[in-house]
Amino acid sequence: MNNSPNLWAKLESAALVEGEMPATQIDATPWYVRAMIGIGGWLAALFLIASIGAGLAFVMRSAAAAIASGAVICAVAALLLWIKREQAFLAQFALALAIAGQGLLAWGIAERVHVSLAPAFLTFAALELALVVVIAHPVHRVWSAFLCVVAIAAALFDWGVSPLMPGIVAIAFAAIVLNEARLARYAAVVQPATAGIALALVVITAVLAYGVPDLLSSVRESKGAANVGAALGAIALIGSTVALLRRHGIAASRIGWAGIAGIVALAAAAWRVPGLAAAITLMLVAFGAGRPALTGLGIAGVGFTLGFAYYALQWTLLAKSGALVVTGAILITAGLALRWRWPAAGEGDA
Amino acid sequence: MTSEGMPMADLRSSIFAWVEAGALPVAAVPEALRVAGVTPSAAAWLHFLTRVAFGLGALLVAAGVIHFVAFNWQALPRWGKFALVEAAIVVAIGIVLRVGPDNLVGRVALIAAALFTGALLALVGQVYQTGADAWQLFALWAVAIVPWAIAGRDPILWLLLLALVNAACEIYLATFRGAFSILFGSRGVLRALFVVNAVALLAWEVLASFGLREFAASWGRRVVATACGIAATALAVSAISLYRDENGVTLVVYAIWALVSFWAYRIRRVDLFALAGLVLSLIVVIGAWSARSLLSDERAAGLLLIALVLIGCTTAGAWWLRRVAGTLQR
Repeated sequence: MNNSPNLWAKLESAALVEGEMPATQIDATPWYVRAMIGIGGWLAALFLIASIGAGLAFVMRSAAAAIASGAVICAVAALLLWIKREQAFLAQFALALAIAGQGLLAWGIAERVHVSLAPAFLTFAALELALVVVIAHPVHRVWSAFLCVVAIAAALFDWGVSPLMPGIVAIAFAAIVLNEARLARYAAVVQPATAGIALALVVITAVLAYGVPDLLSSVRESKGAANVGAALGAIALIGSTVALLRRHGIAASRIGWAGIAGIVALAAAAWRVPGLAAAITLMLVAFGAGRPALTGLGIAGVGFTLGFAYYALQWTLLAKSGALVVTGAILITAGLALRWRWPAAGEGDA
Repeated sequence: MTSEGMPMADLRSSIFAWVEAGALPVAAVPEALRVAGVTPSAAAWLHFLTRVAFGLGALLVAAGVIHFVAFNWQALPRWGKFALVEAAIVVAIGIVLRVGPDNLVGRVALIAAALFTGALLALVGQVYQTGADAWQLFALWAVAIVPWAIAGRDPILWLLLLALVNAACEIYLATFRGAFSILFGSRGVLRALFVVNAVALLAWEVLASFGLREFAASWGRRVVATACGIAATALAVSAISLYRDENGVTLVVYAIWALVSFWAYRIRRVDLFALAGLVLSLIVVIGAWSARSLLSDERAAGLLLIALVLIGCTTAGAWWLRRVAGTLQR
């Protein structure tokens, strides 16, 4: 698709660009069409792996063969995308190949590990990070970044410090997105990668909320991890808020200080609900970057953390009820303060 | 869409493409994103934060009240529990009457009142040990909020009502099929969910065509269309894979659903989101059909062929969707 001449004219009148609009092409595929492409590629990859398993059984029985086959398949996919990216069928075939190759790599690495899982997960995360750069397909970059973060989360879980993960991922997401202007030259990698990180954050939050204790109950959580995790979430939330306020030049104003005070109160109220501060960080940073789909993911993440509040066993329902009402009251008070200062705030369409 | 007539993501991509081409300096990117309307203005931030504060705040308070009821605090007498939940409803409705249902605060208060109603019904069941099943709670809850959904004219209230109807149907048919087993057969839950959501989608479209504002927003329609599409796809896949659909009725119904969706979202009006969902549904169903038809003695070749079929379908679907998107932007 061609770029917008209207936008160029607008930037020209703001003295940001000059001369003729350069002839560049952009991929104008909406996120939900990309999601469809990704799910289609993922399904095809499942059948490709099954085909290899059925036809070349030795690949699945030997860790070395699985790793070597996975690496070769990923290399072929990268090569296909490098030389024939514009051919739609080959690009989709390469996507499915790359996902299948990752599946074989994961299988091979898992086969070699018998004692500690964490090094295997970290090895896989490093491979995924490399694939984010090497395989030039936007949907694949989302997928690889997602797997990279999930693999690191799995390693932290194996070490008994999984509550650290939402805060760490939120800090990483905020650090990259808040600096996206500086990374503009690498947008083809950074934009899909941040979508993968956001998706992983929401999935990790949901898994921490509902599944981990039942999935692998043998792993013992470190006692201090929950507090360190909560602190990391608070750092992500407060740090992002300060950065966003500074971007608008109001960090040192009365409004800025009121905003920071409100966010500190929210971070304190959300201390005992894992992932809540991280999900709110995702929502705010994504909105600030003008990425509505990721903002929606952040809102979904907030919903998952509410689910945790119900199912967590270490609190009584009475204590949770109190915490939820207090957090809700803080937010409603903030809303009332905004309406007191700006009476029309929130009405109609923005 | 933005004032440029392009989706926000495309404006962002254009700016980054010009940076890569050396036409826009990196230092000018934040200002370019602001001028393009990609990053939010102070007014947009205010609008967003106010909505989040009220919406999330009300949701948390309502969740707190539901948790409180679930705790079943023995120290609090029966009348105290009822007084607490009923007071929450009275306060919420009082706010709606004071500020009106069209105001943001009034809308949020009405949604909170609808949630408190569920807590009140659960409390009745808990205190009086009525022996009612869970489906009755959801069904009664749905009926109780109908007047508020009509008065509130808010898509969220209608979606809450639909979610409650879905939950009641699912729990009812999963527990005992009763007289409805004749109508919905052995795959009752999926069929019932498909019928419920298809009727809801049809009603949503008809009411939107009359210009009712609560049904005008595309996001509400898309949520209902997604629920309907998931049920239709699951029904077709189960007909193909899990049991023999001897007379092919399920697949005929699925085909009719796909054709009607195509007519509604491509010919009558273009909704790319709904079309992407339709394409994905067709890919999944074709994949399931291929798996049943092509897997024979030559398993490896059959599996490879299925993968190629899926790649071909996805490529064709993406190509068609991009073409439709192109016609929208011309």
